[in-house]
Amino acid sequence: MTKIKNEKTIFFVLPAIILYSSFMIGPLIAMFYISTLKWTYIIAPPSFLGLDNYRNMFESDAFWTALKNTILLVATLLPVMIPLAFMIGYYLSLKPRGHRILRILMFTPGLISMSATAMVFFAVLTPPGLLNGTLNNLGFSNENTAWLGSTRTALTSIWFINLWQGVGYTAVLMTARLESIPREIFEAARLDGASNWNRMWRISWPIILDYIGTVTMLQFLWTIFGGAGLIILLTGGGPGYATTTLGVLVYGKAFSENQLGYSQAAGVILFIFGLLGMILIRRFIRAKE
Amino acid sequence: MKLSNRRLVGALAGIFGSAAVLTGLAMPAANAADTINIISLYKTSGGPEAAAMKLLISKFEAASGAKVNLTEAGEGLATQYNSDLLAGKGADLMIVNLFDGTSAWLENGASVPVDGYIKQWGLDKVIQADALADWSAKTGSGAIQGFPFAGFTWPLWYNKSLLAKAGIKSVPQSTDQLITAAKALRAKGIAPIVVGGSDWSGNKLWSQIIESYMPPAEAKKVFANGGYCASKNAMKGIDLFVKLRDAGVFVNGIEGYTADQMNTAYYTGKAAIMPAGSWAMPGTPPAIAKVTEMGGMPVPAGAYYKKPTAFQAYSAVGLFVGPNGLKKLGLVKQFVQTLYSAEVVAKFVSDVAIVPGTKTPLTAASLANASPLLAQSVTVLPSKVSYALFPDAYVGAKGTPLTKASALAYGAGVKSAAICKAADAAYKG
Repeated sequence: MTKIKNEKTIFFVLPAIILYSSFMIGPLIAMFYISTLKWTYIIAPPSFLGLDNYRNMFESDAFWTALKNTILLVATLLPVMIPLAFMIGYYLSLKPRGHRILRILMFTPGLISMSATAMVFFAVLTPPGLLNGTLNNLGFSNENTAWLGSTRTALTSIWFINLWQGVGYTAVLMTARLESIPREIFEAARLDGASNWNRMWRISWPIILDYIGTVTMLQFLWTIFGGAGLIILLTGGGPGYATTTLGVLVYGKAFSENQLGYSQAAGVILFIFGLLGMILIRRFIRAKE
Repeated sequence: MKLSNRRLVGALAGIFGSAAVLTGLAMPAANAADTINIISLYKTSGGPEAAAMKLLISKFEAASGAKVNLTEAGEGLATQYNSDLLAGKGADLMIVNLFDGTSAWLENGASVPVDGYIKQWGLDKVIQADALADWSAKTGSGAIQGFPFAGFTWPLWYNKSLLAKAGIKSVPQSTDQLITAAKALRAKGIAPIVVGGSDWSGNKLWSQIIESYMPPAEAKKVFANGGYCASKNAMKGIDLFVKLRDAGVFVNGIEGYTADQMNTAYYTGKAAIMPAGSWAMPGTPPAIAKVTEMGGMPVPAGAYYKKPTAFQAYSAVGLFVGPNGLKKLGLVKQFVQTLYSAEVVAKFVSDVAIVPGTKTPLTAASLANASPLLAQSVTVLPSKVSYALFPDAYVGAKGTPLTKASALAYGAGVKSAAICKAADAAYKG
């Protein structure tokens, strides 16, 4: 009876395995293969280049700038976003007055499409936009700062937009996990004289640390892969390479410069970066546990 | 057990059957012999070209008895067409500009050369030689990439009323005069030059300024291959750009502006000068058009060009023929002939302010319905400017990274060495 059941199970998961292999593993293998090709146009016949794409990439300023920007973005964004999201999530889990509306407001940025987000922030950050108008009216400035056009402010602007986009959504996820902690633990702590701050950091944080690790990994992956879309819409990776990340480089080399082989070489580095990042985050969380 | 297996097989059959039906329904009737598939930058609604496009399609359908299956695409047209072609469903004809991705079509087999058809169909008597030259510039072999249709002029627009407010009596001819004019305009709270520093419009003005000292042959080489830092004349041009930028000839925050914002600033009278192509003319408010004088980008002493420079080219919109179009050459010929018919050309001139690639003379009568700015730029402007080399045909697929380099150039404090390095990097890996 058990043997028959196992056979049936395989039969039912086979379509999923085939789909997963075709659309996940297949493209991954293709990425490594295409990175060894000279392929200048999607309908042109490719030729084998070996490791020349990697050599060209490692010799180019664009790649090192993209790598630096990716590391900078992730290394400064996550340590701010995750604790902030946790604190907001903890507050929401206390169910203060209006917490339902607050949750909706927090979650809303995650529901807005990337192009709509880009349009909104373009209108805010453009020289004749809302931010400059507000600063000028309040007397803080009389400049027409190009927040997205200046090498001094463009990446920082992208950083803030990523924070805005991710913190509320992540906070709502944290709230859901925090609400599953037995209330008696907090009651007991409160009776022992623990403040809200202590209950938050000394009780809640350690209990859900594994979950925080998962959420951090998801946010890390979103920032390095999904975040490229926002940069492409807002700055195209410019000015110069000021906002070019590895994800933007992969897109630009493939679709703007018709260098598919080079693009996939950058994709391989991005993949390795993603893997290493996930391992580091996992190790960090485990060490804290 | 048997019953559950039958249900399972029935469910799977239903799923796959529905998928097959839906796939069949989703597939367009692309291969019907009486249909021509076109992917187009020009749309049939929502833009100034809408009526002209509808006229073109209705005339063609009436004459040929065939149907036009039109796909309207925006800036992603090249990518969309490439994907369609890979799937074996590439359009027969592509109505698009010769720029960036589209300029690489011919060499990669995504479009076919049309020089043979131009001769066969007698179109060499219809199309201007300059237009054919623009559409064969990159190939170097005489192969023509597509049928040229719409050209443009790309002068500097001067708001005489704002200039007069600042005490400037005439349009500046030299860069020294431009700097003086910019100071006077700023003193009156008027922005001098506005341009989309972060996008293609700023890139064109940047190219125009750095070309000031370069003969066309040198400019072709630099635009095609890079080497800005190594070219003495290109570096002089970049130094000139930095000098103008630092002297305040551009609006504050220029590096963050887009072409749309440039148009808005000029149309609302906030900026006195903008570089814009003839496609912007139909949308110009009449009050602004009335006070606008077309001119060129002022030149420095010792420049290669003796007069202020402007651009003029025929690469705005043309008709590419895809490999699938070769199977319907009869329909392609009829469509091309309809496109070049006097009625259709006149409609595009009046509604879209194109400079036609055909030998249609632009007389006062034909310009009467068009924007007065177009009339000015084809009748008066040529005597006031020198036409600089238009870079697009040579820059090719480097357009996007070069635009990021020019966006960097508009930023305050960026030195010439950093600009030329960024421009050269656009040509490397």
